[in-house]
Parts: sequence; structure tokens; C-alpha cells
Amino acid sequence: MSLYPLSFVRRPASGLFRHSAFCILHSAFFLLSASAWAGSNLVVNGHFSDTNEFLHGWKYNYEDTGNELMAANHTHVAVTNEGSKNHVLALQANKILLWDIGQGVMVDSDPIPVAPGGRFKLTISAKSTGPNCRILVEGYRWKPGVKPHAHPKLKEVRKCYRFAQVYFGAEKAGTMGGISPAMGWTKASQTFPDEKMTKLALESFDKVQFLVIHIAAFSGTWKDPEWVYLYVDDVELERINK
Amino acid sequence: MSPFGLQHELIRIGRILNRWQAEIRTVLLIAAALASLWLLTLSDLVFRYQRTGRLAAWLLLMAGVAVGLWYVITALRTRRTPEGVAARIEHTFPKLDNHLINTLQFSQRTNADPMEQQYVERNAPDWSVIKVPALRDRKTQWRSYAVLFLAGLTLIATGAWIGGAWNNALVRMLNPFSPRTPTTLAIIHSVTPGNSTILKGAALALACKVSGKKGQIVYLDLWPEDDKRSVMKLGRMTGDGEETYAYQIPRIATGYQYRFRAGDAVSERFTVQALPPLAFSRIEVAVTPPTPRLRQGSAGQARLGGQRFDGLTATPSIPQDSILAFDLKCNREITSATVMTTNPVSLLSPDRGQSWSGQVVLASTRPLVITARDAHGATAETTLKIEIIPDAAPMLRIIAPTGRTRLAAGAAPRIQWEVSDDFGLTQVRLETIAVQDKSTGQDSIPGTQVQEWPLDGTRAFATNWNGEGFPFSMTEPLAFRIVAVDDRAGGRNGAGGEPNRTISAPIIFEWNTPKDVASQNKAVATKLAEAVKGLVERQRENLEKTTKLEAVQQTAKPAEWQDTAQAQQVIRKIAGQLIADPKKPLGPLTEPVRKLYLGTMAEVVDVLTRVSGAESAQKTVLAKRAILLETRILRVLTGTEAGLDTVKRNQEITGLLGQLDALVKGQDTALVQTKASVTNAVKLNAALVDKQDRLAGALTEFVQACRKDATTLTASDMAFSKILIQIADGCESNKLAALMLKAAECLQNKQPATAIPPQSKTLAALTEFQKLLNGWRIQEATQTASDMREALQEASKKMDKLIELESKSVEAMRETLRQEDKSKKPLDDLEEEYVELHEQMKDSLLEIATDLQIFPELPVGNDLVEDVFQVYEEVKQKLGTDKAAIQEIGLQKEDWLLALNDALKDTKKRIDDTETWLPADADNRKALTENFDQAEMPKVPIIPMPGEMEDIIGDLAEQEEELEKKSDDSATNQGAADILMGWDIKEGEWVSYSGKGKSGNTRPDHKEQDGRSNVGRSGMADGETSAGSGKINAGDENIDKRMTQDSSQSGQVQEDGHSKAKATGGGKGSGYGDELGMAGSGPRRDSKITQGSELGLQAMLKRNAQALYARSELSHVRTGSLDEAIRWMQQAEGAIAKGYPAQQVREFQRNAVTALKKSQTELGGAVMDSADATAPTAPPIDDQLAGVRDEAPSAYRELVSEYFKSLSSAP
Repeated sequence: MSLYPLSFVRRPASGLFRHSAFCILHSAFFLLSASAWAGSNLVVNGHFSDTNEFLHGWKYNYEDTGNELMAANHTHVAVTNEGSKNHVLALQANKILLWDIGQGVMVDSDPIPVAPGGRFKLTISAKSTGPNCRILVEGYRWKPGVKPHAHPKLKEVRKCYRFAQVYFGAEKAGTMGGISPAMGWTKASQTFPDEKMTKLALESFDKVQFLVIHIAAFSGTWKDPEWVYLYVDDVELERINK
Repeated sequence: MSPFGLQHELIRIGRILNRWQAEIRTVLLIAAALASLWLLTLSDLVFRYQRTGRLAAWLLLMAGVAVGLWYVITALRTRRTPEGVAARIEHTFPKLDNHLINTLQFSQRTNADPMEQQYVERNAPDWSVIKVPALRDRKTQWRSYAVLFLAGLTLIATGAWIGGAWNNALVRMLNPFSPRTPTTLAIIHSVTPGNSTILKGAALALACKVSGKKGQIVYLDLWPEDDKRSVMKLGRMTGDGEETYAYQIPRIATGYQYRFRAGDAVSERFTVQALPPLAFSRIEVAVTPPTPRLRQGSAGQARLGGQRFDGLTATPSIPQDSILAFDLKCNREITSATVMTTNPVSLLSPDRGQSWSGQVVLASTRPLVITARDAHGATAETTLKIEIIPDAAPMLRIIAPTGRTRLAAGAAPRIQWEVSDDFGLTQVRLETIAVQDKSTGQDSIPGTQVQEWPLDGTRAFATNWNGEGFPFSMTEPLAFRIVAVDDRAGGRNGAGGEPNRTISAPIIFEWNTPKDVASQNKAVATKLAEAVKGLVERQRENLEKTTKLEAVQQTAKPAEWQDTAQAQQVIRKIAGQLIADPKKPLGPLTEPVRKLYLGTMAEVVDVLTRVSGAESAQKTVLAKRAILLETRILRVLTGTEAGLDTVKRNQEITGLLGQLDALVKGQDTALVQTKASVTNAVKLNAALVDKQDRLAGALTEFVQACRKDATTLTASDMAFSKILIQIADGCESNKLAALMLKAAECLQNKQPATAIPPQSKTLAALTEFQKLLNGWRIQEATQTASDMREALQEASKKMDKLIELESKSVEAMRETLRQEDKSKKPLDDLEEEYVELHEQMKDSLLEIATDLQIFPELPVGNDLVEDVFQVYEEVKQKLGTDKAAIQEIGLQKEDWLLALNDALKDTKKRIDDTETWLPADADNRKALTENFDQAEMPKVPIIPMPGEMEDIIGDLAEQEEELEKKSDDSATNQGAADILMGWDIKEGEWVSYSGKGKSGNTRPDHKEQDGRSNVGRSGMADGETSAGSGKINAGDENIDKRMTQDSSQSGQVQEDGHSKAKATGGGKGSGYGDELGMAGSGPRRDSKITQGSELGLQAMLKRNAQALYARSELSHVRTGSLDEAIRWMQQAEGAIAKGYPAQQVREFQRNAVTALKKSQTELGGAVMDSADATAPTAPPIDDQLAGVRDEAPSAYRELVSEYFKSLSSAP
């Protein structure tokens, strides 16, 4: 298996092509933003098919957090072809990552601006060769002291809410997503927030200005010295109320 | 021809040859010049040179001509040798062979051989064959002239063919300085504005007038200084005479060069210079305050804002009438500058417009406007941002008396006042005026001066005038007024004007006869008794009515509730009048009633008003509350009514004692003055005679009062009654009144020495009586104090018993709950097991004692994380986990924790964490840990806290209550300075000092636990908090009183919110929140800070004043307005403690000082009754205060406070 950015996946674009692609992508982004109320996918590059920029719309390098445990996270993240699926997100892990220290491997989407009072549905496909997962949407708001602007980055916003995570297994509860190697490619979804929110939850939910999709490989099984993978594709987030 | 002649001839021929050569070169030069001129003329026709081009071409032409001329001159100056000329001749005339040159050379030899001499001596060559013109190069000459002809012909022919344009161009080329324009199809007649200057930001119109053939296009070429050239197409010429084309630049931001092009015509390139707007670059202002103020020295100068300031930025406060000296400069040269006050004042420039200076007198409070103008007509204008301090009139405050005053017969008037002025006072006068004189202000009728205090510019003056040396009648009312004059002299800086003058309102004193006083006192006492009795009756009646309404609240009409509210309002109003009476009829009972008035009475009105509109459930609560409050009011009022007699008696006794004290003091003063007048007759004046006379009258009044009070006090205080009779008898038997009158007569007859014996005898007798009464005072005060002490001790013992009982009950209840009832016996059997339970309790106490031993001394970080932010996590709890059985596990002590702490001791670096989340099940693990001995535990290193921390919280996981209790872990002292945190957020088996704790979604265990954490949930932790602020969330609901050592550390924590938590665990030495914390019963801990605080000082002052007041009351010593002073001190103390604005605290303190001064005046001299109660100007309950602190942002609190103050002080 070859991992992005090897040449067979990456197709260097000519200047004209690159420029065109850039324009198209941006147009698409704005169109997507504008049509958010219409229930379309709010995630940029949710299918990981953007080959012009590696993991465009996603954060995978956490060196800026200063957390040494996460400093090498980006070396375990790739976009690859898995079976019949082209361009899927691959999170690579071993026992140290999953259990011994247990920081896992993760990616986060860029912050998605949302209007207050929304209910959303996150749909995602995943496959694992060992790791379990935690896939959920987190609510963020502007960090104190940051002047609001149109293209916030994760380091400019602050977490204030964690919505219920996506459960792939039969039990729709717990701290892990419940994906296992035997399940193959599995599609699951989660609707949030809860319709009956407590006062405490409501206080925090009212602060949410952005949504970030958090995908992490944790726990599960491993086959040292081989790597095990969590594959993710077709990430779709839509607003289900008007 | 001789050789010499030959040589000369050859030189001549050589010159001829040079001329011929110069001629040829001249002809060629002219031809070349003509050709060049032709070329340049032709090029001008094509290129239409500008002045520069023409000049360059002309210079080129001139340079060529110069070179040619030089070439001609060199031809003329060429030196040809005779040999050369000879050779040239021989070449032209071959017949000469080389005979000519040989002859020439041989003749030049000095030692020629005979052969050569012979050759020379032969005849010269045949010179006749030599025709000089034949030496000319005719061919070259002809060719050069041909070239010249061709050049001239070309020039002329071209001119003839082209016509006038050629001649025009030719002239333009020949004279580059000619204004002649090139010949074009279009003509640009004029361009406006040409070379000009314009202000930046202004509009610029560029225009040209052109004429020419139709169809030609007019362009404008623009070269901005900060951009590349741009070309504007202005239009196409119509050919109808002279046309104008213009282009408007709406806003000039930079300089331009421009030119117009019309067809083939091109204008000159013009320049427009853009000037920045005229602005002041420097305004320096030197302030000279008004002359009188200079006397105040540096402090005065500092108050006036300094000597010099920057007029562009500074905003100083400047007193009126100051001289302002200006020194200003603009960003370029200006032609005039003025300062506008009431009239424009022109400034002068010593350096031709660079800087300008001048001075004005700040005579009015109108703003100063400075205007500057430059040569281009641009103006700059600015208003000096100064605050002009107007010279206000003096502030005059009468401290005492505060209203129309009635004095007892013989009492001297006393006036205490303060005067202040913003700049300085020159004079304060006390005048007497007619009682009916109502004139005020500047129109007041001049009074008779009593005394004058000349002042030399001092800003504050205060005095206490006691009528010393002023004769007055005791029958007619006397009116005074105070006049204060400031130092605003007419000549101050030439500003002119009159000094400010403030005149007080009339201060009127009246004298009552003893009979009048007695009747008034009686009337007042009766009125008071009736008022209080009526108040009690009203309250009792309203309470009954409220109680009835409460019983039938569902059917009661709203109007009935409103009636009760109105009745309470009336009660409150009457109570307000009682406490507002300056005579203080309630005496020491005033304060309880005042508290009632401000608190309970106000609340009950509010409660009763809300009852009628409340919902039924709320109505019940409100009604019961109203009854409770009304009962409280009734209880206090009943107590007040019962205590009135005691108050009255005490007042009478105090008054009597005060009279005697005043008599002793007055007689003593009179004796001293009399003795002084023996040696100095000037001191024997009418005032002294009056005083002695008044004392005799006062003594008579005192004796009457003694007899009267002895009769009335017989029943209540027999001992005091006997003393009074003894004193009255003594006065009469010693004929003290007669002695006093005798002394007065002697003084009137100018015999002071004769007056001394009766005065001395009287004083001795009065002093004896005073001692007698003082003895009684001390005895009574001692007895009263002893009674009070016993009562307090008794109450204290009762409180101790209650506390002990409460503590035991709590301990027993907690232990009962902690002990599991495994026997399942019914509760009835509990009594039988009491003994066993008691033993268990003993064990329990021992256990607690053991627990207290395990905790090491808490390491103190004193570190606060100011930015703690909360993340809420939605958790899907796993089914059935709320009922999962509790698993008990035992854990040994971990030595690696000690090693970890040891390692962290040096690094001080925080350990990074992995991702953390909330568990989806309840805590079903009970950890029982082995603990270290305290000796094993090294000092835990403190790792510095980060700048921000993330707190994660979720709704509490569901778990059965019993299981929740069973899952409580044991207390532990296995502690780590820092540790890797991540995964599920659960309560672990180790203590952590890293402050990484999260609020989580489970309740903290019910146990003592130290460590360091953020705010989190309420629990029994005894550690230190590291969060600067945060919300305390619901946690352990069964908080017991703390059993471990106190762990409050320095630092201040602000509470963001509160979820009915009972305790926060650990904490900082100070903090604040919206709700009160749980009461504790720990030992008293005094502050370790030795330096006194403002709050402490204020509290100490209040305590001292209270003690003085209590002692005075006990000893029947008059207190004047001391109670009022204590009240203000109390308010000041409260304001400091609550962090109110300093201004408000200052106001309370100022009021306290005023009350103290008032007390001083009231107690300082003769007996003076309180002011007339009929016209209290402002009852104490409605004092004009700065507004209380509200929810306004801190930056605006002072402002809001001032606002409310101004409202409350409005008439």
C-alpha cells in the first residue's frame, strides 16, 4: 500500500489547472456555505477527494499545540485508496498509540460556522483493521482576544461543547464508537444535540458558534509490529432543521 | 634672389597656402551648418520639439559650428617650413627639379663645402616660372563651393516647397528661446491653472482653450507624483472656433504634472503642487495663575495644572483670570495667527512666519479658539482643550446650630461653622441682623459686625464662636449671619470684577424662661408617649388584620391587602418622624427604631403590596412573611413604649447633671475672669457682669429642677431623689443664688476684688455638689455595667450550650447515617442500641482522629489559572450502569509516585495529557488505598500552572443513591505533583497537585481529600484551588463540617456561578460570590497582617465611639450628636467592607466628622437645648448621600453614584 503523498495518488497540476481548481474549490466552498440552510453537506472535503492540497479543510498536524504526545500525529495520517474506495482518510496506529500512552491518532475539520439553534446530522463511513474510534462533532466559539473573521482556524477557537459521538456498533452508548475489524466498511450517523437538553447543556450550547468534526482512533486491537488502520470516508454534516 | 630672400618668399607662399586651406574649410563648415539646420528644421516639423528639445538641438548645432571654426583656425595657424613650401612648389613646377630645395638647404649650412657654396652662389632658380596661384587646389575649392551651394539650395528649396511652416521651424531651431510654437493643425491658446499650488483634498479643474480643424482629439496627460502616467481623452474638436476642454480631479492627494494635447498641438508640461492641510505642529501654552494664588506656593501651582502645557494634547484645568502665553508653529509658514477669546487677539512672529507668540488673559469661561492662515489662504483652527476653573463664591457650612435654636435662660449662643474657597479667602465676618430681615445674597442689608476674622488668602477656615465678650439680652431673640469674602480682587491680572461673597442664612437664637422649658418638656414628653402608644396600637391593629387576611387569603380582596400595606406605610412614616426629630425624644431607643424603619418596616410594606397580586402558593408564603415581620415590628415598638419612661428619667437626670456641670464650669470661668480684671480693669466688661447674673438665674432654675425631679423620681430612684433634695437644700442654706447676685453687683460697681469671695464660696459649694452627684454617677454606672455583664455572660453560656447541643446532634446524626443498619431491625429498637451506638461513635471519633494524621502538610502553590473555560459533553450512559454492583479493590502504596515527585522537583515541567472524556457509566469502584506514613512522604514539588485550563463537565451520571455512597473511596495521601491525565474522567486513587481535575459527571466521594484542582463540583476536598474563577457545580450534598486542618491559601477567587453547593473544598484566603458559604465552627483565626487597614482603622474608631457613647449614657453625661457620628462611622465601615466607591466612603466619613463637630459644639459650653423640632430640614433617614453601588460597570460607578447624589440633593 502506498500512502499519499506518493506519486500515483498525487497528480501535480499544471499552473492553469491549479488556478482553475483553486477557483472552483473556493466557489464550491462559498456555494456550500451559502446553501447550508438548504441541508447540504457543510463539510469541506468530506470525501477526501481534494487532491490539490493534502487534507484540505482538515487539521492533522498538532505541533502547534505544544503537546509533545501529539507532535508526531501528522506522520500517522494519510489519504489513500482502500479496496474499491479511492481517496479515504487513513489513521495509522500501533499499541503505543492506542494503549500504552493512548493518545491515539486524530484529525479535526476546520471550524464550520453555524447559526444558533440548529440540529444537525453527522453521517460517516468507517472501516477498521484494529483501532476503535471516537467520532463526534464538537462545538467551538471564538477564543477570547481573537478578532472574528471569515476563515477561522482551530487554534483561534475554543471548545465549549461535545456532542454525542457516532456509534457503529449495536450499543448506542459508551465512550467509544464501537467499530471493529469484522464490520468492514460501515456507515453510521448521529443526530445532535439532544432534543431535551438540561439547563447546563443549554447554557453551553448557546455559546456554540462553530462545529468541528473530530475523528480519532483510540483503543481497539493491534498487531505489532504491523500497523493497524482506521479508514474514514464520506463525512457529511447537514443541518436538519430550518 | 638671395637665400634670405628665398626663405622669406617661401614663408609668404606658405601663408597663402594656409589661407586657401582655411577658405575651403570655411565653405565646408557653412555647408555643414546649413545641412544640420536643414536636418533639425525638418525634424522639428516632424517631432515638434519642446523648449528642451529645441535647446538641445541648437546647442548641438552651435557645438558643430564651434568645432568647425576651430578647424578653420587651425588651418590658418598651421606652420609650414620653407622646405615644405619649396617641396610643394617643386611638385607643382617640375621644371625646377629639386634645385630650389637644394639651394635652400645648402644655404643654411654654415660650414658648407666649396661645391655646395658654388651651388648656392649660382643664380637662384628661375623664380619667374613660379606662378603662386598655380599652387591652389582648384578642384577642391570648386567642390567645396559646390557643396555649399547644394546645402544652401536644399535649404531654400525645402523652404520654398514646404512654405511658412518651414520658416517657422527654421526660426524655432535658430532661436530656441523664441516662444514661437511649432506649426500645428490645432492651436492650444491657454491652459489653466498652469503651474499652481493646491491643498490636498481639494478639487482641481484642469482646462485648456483650443482651436483647430474638426475631428482632432484633445487629450490630457497626467503624471501623478506617486503613480505612473495616465492619459485622459477629453473630447474631439468640432472646429467651431475656440473651444474649452476641462478635466476635474475631485480630490487631490498628491502632486501632478500635466499637459494637454490637441491633435498635433502639445502644451507645455505644467506642475500642480499639492500642499497638505494647514495644521498646528506645536502649541505651547505657559500659564500664569492670578497673582493672589501665587502666594500659595508650589502646592497651589500643582493644583492649577503646572506652568506650561501642550495645547494640542493636554487638557489641564486652569483658573479663571490666568494669563496664557502662546507659542505656536504650523506645519508650514503662516502669515497670521489669532487667539479668539471675547475678541480676537493677534499673535506676532519674530522669525517671519515660522513661529508665533502672544498672550491673552483668561477673563471669561468661553473656549479659546486659535486660528492660523497661510499664504495660500488655507486656515487651521483649533480649540484649546482646557477646563476653566471659575472662581466660585466661598462655601459656607453652619455645623451648629442647624436651625432656629431655643436656649435655656442664661445660656450663651454658640455657632460653629466652616468656610472654604477654591482659591482663597480674605475675610469672614459675624454680623447681627434684625430677626425679621430676610434679605439674602448680594442684595442683603448690611448688619452690625460682631467680629471679623481677616484671612490672608487661606482656602479654609473653621471656628467655634461661643459668644465670649458679646453682650446680649436673654429676652429678645437674636439673629446672626456669617459673611465670607474671597480674594477675587479687582486688579487680578487685570481681569476686573468684584470679590465673591457668601452670606449665610439667619441663625436665630431664642431664650426661654425655666417655666416655658418645663412646660415644653412636659408637652413633648406627653406628645411622644401618645405617639408611641398610637404607633403600638396601629401596629397591633394591623397585625390582627393581616392575620385575619392570611386565614382567608383565598377569598380576601386585593384592596384589603392594600389597606394593610397603607397602614404599614403610615406606621413607617410616624416612626420616621420620631427618629428624624432632632430632639431625639427616643434617646438610646432611636437606633432600634431606625433599624426597624430602614429594614423590617420597609420590607413589610413591600411584602404586603405584593401579596394581592401573587399566585396562591406564593401568597401564602408572602402572608406568613408579612405576619412575621409585623410581629417583629410590634415587639420592638412595645419594647420602645415600655422603655420610654426609663429614657425620660435618664434624660431628666442627664439634664440635671448637665446643668450642674455647666454651673460649675461657668462659675469657674467667671472667677478666673474676675481675678484677671483685678489687675487689668479692661477685662471687667458688661459681658462678665451679664454672665455672673445669668449664672445666678441658672442656679435658681437648677434648684427648682432638683426639687421637682426629686419628687418625680422618688418612686423609681429613692437614693438619687435624696441627693437632689440634699443639693437643693444646700444651695438654699448657703444662699448661693444671693452670693452670685452679690458678686454680679460688685462687678457692676467695678469692684472685682469684692466679687471674688462670694464667687469662690459659690464655686466651692457647687463643686461639692458635683462631687456628690459624680459619686452617684459612678456607683450607678458601675452597677448598671455589672448587671449588663452578668446578663451577657448568662446569654453567652446559653449560646455555648446550644452550640454544643447542636454539634453533638450533628455528629450523632452523621454517625447514625454512616453506620449501616445490617440487622434490619425496626427503628423502635434504635433506643435499645443506643449504648452500642455510643461505643461505635467513640470508634468513629477515633477513626476521624486517625484520618487527621494521614494528611501531610499541604504544599502551597498560590498559583491561579485566570482562564478556566468549560466544555460540556453529552454522554450516552450505558444501560444498567446505574445499578451496577460496586466492586471493592485494595491498592497498595506506590513507591513510583515518590520517584516521580522526586524527578519533577527539578524539572518543574508539566506533563502533557492525552485526550480526556466523560465516562458513560457511573462510578462503581470502591478503592481502598494503603497510605504512606507521613515520614515517608517527601515535600511534594509544586508545578507551575498554565495560563489556561479546560474543564469538562456533563450532567451527573445516574446511579442509585445507595450504590453511590458505597462507591466512595477511602481517603488517601498517595500524592503526585503531576501525572499523565487522559481517557475517562473519574475519581482515582491518588491525590494530584497538578490542578488538572475536571468537573466530570459524577459526584465527588464523601471523604476528606487534599491536592490541587480547579473549581469543579462541591465536595469535601481540603486542597487548594487553582482556578481564578469558575462555577461551583452540584456535587456531594452531604457536606460535614471540616475535620482537617484549614487550607486556605493566599489569592483571590471569583465565583462565576453557584449551583446550591454547600462547600467548595480548600480554597483561597479570600474570594467573593453571590451566595453565602456554609457556616463553620472552626477556631478563631486572626489575621497575621500587622499593618492596619483602612477598614480596621474605621472599625476601631467606631468601637471607640460606641464605647464612649455607652460610658456616657451609663454615667448620665450628655452625648450630643455622638450617636449620629457612630451611625455614620458604621455606614463608612460597611461601605469599605463592601468595596463601595471611595467617594461614597468619604462622604460617610465626612458626615461622621460633621456630627462629631456638632457634638463638640453642643457639649462644649453652656446648656443648649436642641434645635426646634418643628422644622427639621432633612430628617436623618433621608440624608443626602452618594447613591449606593449598583450593577453599573466599574468604570461608571463613580459617575452613577454622583448622579444619584445630585438627585437626592436636589431641592
